[in-house]
Amino acid sequence: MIEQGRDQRGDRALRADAVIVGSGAAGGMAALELSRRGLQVVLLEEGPLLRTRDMTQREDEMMPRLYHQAGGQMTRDRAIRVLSGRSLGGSTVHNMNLCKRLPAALLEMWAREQPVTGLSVLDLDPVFASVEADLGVIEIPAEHRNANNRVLERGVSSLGWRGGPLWHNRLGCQRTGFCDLGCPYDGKQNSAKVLIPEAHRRGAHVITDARADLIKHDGREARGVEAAVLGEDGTPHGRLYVEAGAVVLAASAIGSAVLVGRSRLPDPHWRAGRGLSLHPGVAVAGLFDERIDGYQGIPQSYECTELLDHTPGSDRRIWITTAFAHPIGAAAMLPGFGEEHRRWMKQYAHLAVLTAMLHDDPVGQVGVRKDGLPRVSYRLDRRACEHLGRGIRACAELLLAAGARRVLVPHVPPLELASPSDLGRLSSDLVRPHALPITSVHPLGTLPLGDDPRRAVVRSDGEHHQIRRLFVLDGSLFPTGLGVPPQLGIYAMARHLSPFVADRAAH
Amino acid sequence: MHVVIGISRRKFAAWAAATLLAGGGGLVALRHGGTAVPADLGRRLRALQPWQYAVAEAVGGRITHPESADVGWFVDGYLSSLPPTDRRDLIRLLTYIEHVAPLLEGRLRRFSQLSAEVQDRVLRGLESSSSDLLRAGFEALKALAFMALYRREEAWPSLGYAGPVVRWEEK
Repeated sequence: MIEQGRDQRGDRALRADAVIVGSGAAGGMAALELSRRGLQVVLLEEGPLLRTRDMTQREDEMMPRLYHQAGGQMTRDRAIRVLSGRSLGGSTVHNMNLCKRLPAALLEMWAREQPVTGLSVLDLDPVFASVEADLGVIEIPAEHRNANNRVLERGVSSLGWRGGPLWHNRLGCQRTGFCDLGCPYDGKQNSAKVLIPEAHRRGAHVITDARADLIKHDGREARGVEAAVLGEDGTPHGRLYVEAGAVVLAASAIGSAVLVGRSRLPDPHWRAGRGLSLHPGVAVAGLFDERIDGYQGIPQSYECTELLDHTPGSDRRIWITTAFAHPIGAAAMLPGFGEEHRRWMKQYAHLAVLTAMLHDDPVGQVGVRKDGLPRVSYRLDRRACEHLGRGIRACAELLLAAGARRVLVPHVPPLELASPSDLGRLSSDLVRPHALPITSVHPLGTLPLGDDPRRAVVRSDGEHHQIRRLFVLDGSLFPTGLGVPPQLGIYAMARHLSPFVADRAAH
Repeated sequence: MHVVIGISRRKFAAWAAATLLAGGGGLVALRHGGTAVPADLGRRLRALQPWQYAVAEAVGGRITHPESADVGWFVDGYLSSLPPTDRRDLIRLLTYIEHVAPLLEGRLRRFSQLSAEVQDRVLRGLESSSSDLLRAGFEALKALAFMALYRREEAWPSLGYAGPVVRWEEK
C-alpha cells in the first residue's frame, strides 16, 4: 500500500539506500530502476495520492488537486503562467502524453559545447526504445484525430507545410478529452500507472503528502532529506527524516532548484537555479461554421514543424500543435470582458485553437521566495517576442487555410482576421509581456549537466559536481530548452542515469 | 486555478503617493464607509472586509456581464486559501480599483458606486494600462470572475459544453 503522509502522526525517521524527491517521469523511473537493482528506495511526493475515482473532469476541482499553486504559478513579472504537477505521478498525471525523442541536433550540440559525455544518439537510442516499449508509445491513428487536430492537419496540407501525427503513451484511452484534468479511465501509461506500482511491488516505500524541505549534507556528501508531512489542507503537521546513501532530485526544474536553493549547497560558479527555459506558448483561435468541440477526443495528436529546426543557428524555433481548453481556461484566454467576451464564448463549440510554442534560450532563473515558494524569474527578450509573433502569424495562416471564418488573436486589444489579406495586421512587435496570455508547461534546465563545473551543476552521470551522492535526474538536467515536449526525454534520462545512482548508493 | 498578482508595497505606495499629490488623499481616507452590503456580511466573510467584497462583486459583475456569478463570495473563499502574501496582493488591487483607478478616469466616486458604463471604462483602463502589474492584476481578477461563472454547470449549455463525461455516483 502506498503511504499517505496525511495519515502520519508526529515525527518520524527512515533509512534507505536512496531517497527520491518527486514522483513524475524522473522520480517514477528512478524508483523503478533502483528497486530493480535491489536497492531500498524511499520515494517522496509533495502532492496527494489521487485514484481514478478522484478524477472528476471538473476544472474547478482538478486544478487545485493536480497543479502547483492550483495552476496559478506565475513568473515573477506575472507575464507567464507556469503549470507543473503535484500529485503522485507529477506532471505525467495531467500532461497530454506526448512522446518525442530528444532531437539529435541538440544532443550533438550539448556534446560539443557543454560538453556532455555519454549522451550521443547511439547511447540513448536503445534507452528510448526500451522506454517506448515499457510505456506503450504509439502513433495516434488518423481515425482517432479529433476535429481540432483535423483542422491543423487540413491547414498544414493546404499550405504544403511540414507536419505529421504525434506519438502518445496511452492504453485504454476512452478519448473523452479531459487529459489535462487527469484520466478517470487510467488510460495514461504514465509514472503513476506503470512505473511506481512496479517499484512499490519491488519494495519501494512510497510516501505522498511529503514535501522535501532540505537536502541534508556535510558540504561534501549528501546524507538524506528532511521533509514536512502535510495534512489534507496542505499545512505541515509533522517531520520526516530520511537518511540515505544517495539523494535523487526529481521534483522538476522548479522544485529541484528550489530544494537546492533552500539547502545552501556549495555553488562556486553561481550556476544552480539559472538557465531556466520555459517553452512559452501563445494560443490563436479560429471560428468555424461547423462544430469543432475541441475539448472532446484525443488532444494534441498532430503537429506542424514548418517553423522548427534544431540545427544550430537556425531561425526556426516554433513548434505548433493544438491547444483546446475547458470553459474556465478558455474564458481566461479569450480577450476582453462583458458582452464582448460573451460573444466569443457563445462560439465555444465552433472554435479550434492552435498554440505556438517557442524553443527558447535558457534565460530564466528559479530562486526561493521568503515564504518558501518558488520565485520564477523569466523575461521574454525582443528576439523571443519576434519568434512568438511569427508563431502567431503561422497559427493564423493555418486556421485560415483550414477554412476558419475568422481568426482571433487574444491580444489587448483583440485582433480579428477574416482573410489572409488581414495577416499584415499582425505586426512584428505584436508579442510583449502582458499583451496576451502566455503559458508554459515545460520548465527545464535549472541544474544542467555537463563535464565543466563552471557551466554545469551536475556531471554527465547526473551526480552533483560538489556534493557526492546527490543526483539530479529530471528536466533540470537539460543544458538548453528542447523545442519539443520533454516527457520522453526525462523518462529516458532517468533510466540512463539510474545505474550511476545505484552504483554510488551501494558504495 | 490559483491567481495572484504581484503589486509590491513600494509600487502601491508610489501609486498612493501620486494620488495624494493629485489632491485625492483625503478622498481615499474618507471614502471607506457607506457601502451597501447585508448587515451580517462581516461575520460570514472569511478573508474580505464588507467593502472589499462589494468591490469584488462590482468588478466581477462587469466582467461576467450579462451573467451573474456571486464573484464576491467566490473571491472571499478563494483568498482564504491563499498564502498571506498573495492574499494581501489581491486585496491591495481591490483597494486600488475602488479608490485610485476612478480618479485616473476623472471620477471622484468610488468604483463600486459608479455607473456600469463608467465601471467598464475603468476596467478597460486597467486591461490596457501601461503598467504591467495593473494589466496582470486585471487578468487575475478576470480569471477569478470567470472561474466563479464557469464552474457552474448551468453556465455550460449556452456554450455547447457537455461537461464531465464520467459520473462516479452512477458507476
